Amino acid sequence: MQIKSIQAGKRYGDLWALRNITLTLPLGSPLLLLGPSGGGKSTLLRLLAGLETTDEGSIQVDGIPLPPDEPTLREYRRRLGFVFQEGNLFPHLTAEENITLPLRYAHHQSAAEAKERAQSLLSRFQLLPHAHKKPAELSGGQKQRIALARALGHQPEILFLDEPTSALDPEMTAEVLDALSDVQQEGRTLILATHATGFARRTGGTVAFLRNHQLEWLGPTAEFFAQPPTPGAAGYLARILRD
Amino acid sequence: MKTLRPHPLLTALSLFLVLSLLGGFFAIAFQSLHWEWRWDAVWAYREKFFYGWCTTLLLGSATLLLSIPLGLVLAAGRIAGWLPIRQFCTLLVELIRGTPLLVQILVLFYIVGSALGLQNRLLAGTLILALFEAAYFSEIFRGAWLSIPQSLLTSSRAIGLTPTCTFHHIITPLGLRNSLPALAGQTASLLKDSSLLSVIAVTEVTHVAQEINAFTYGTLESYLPLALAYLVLTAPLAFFTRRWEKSLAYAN
Repeated sequence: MQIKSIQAGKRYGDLWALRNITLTLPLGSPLLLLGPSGGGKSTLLRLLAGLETTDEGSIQVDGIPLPPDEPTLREYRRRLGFVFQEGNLFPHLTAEENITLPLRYAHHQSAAEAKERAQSLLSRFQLLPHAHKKPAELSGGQKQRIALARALGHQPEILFLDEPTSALDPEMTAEVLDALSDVQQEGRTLILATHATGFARRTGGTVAFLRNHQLEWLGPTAEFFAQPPTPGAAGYLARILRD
Repeated sequence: MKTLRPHPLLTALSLFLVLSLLGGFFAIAFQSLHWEWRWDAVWAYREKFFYGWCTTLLLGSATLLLSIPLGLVLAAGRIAGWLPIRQFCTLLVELIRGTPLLVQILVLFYIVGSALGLQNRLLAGTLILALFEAAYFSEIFRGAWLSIPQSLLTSSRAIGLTPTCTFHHIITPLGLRNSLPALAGQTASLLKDSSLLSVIAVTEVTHVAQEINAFTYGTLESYLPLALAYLVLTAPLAFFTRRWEKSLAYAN
């Protein structure tokens, strides 16, 4: 699946959250969305993922612009996987039910198929003992790993992660990033908005640096960290790495 | 949510204290009244009273069954409807919540009901009460809907659930959990509100108690059993809802 953003922009009221974004998603290697908070990372991720629609320009999937109608966008999103910063898991369902819910009702698997898939994912992330716990009984790191397992349940073509570790303490962050490294090594395409620069540097791929609602720089991750390409990027990295 | 559970003996002792305080207070109040109890006069009407109680139960159940779907429709109309629908639902709900039930019963029965040729008092009473309670239920449902965090609705869209699926698997269970105490309270109110239908001579239990009072002049002997008759309905409601609430709990 080839995804392109062509001069895409998004407006909330009178304020442009993002303008004039043109990029092509690299297949099979990660795309890292870096930049200060409020710079447009989340908005770009949501546009690319069909969770929001553009107010100018377009998002093209295999050469066809994404239409604004919800049923088509929903079909598109069913080919993707998502992990958000928080509010991923449904509080009234157990870990296992959270994973089987989309398999059964969005991907039309049988109860038995869905359960088997959930079990194998829980076991892969060492979460089997927690299968029957509800989110309130789990740590932040466990919840995010379950969200990751759920996002992988239907073998998505691309995995979107919007600051998946920003609400976690360093130990839990490491736990989630380890799981994510594991997923990345399978060669799955990742799109990750993050402040975890250490992880970003190890991950490689491409960096899209967003600042002031614009795409300020796009290029190889190694290059971005070796020599910050813009004064904005230098300032951002200095602030991030100071603590 | 975990609360510290006190020792059972302590619980029993405390309950005993509370009951004796309340009971003592009322005993003293009744003592100072020097009321001559005449239970034998009202006892003769026990069958009529039981019949009235059954009518209340039937009326209440039918009203509940009608007002919950109607409340859902009104809430949906206010949340998602087309502008005129939204205005209509909002106006209806505010009109019903802003005026006395007594006035609504009289106007709807004697004016609207007569115009429509609806003369069956029990049926008319049920419909009027259902409309009244639906306005309150709709506000509870609307509150429950609005209490669901936006992030969960986004997650639901992200995993590819349809709006119908989201309503069924996410909004209903979470909304029910949040609104159960209010729903139980409104159901108890509904049972008590039905007493006002006595003004259009529906022979529910309050109407019967009024009649017994008129025949026997035993005011307390008519109305104290009436209080008990409602309590028999509302107390189990409170008890079972609390148990249901616990079974739905997912902590926070």
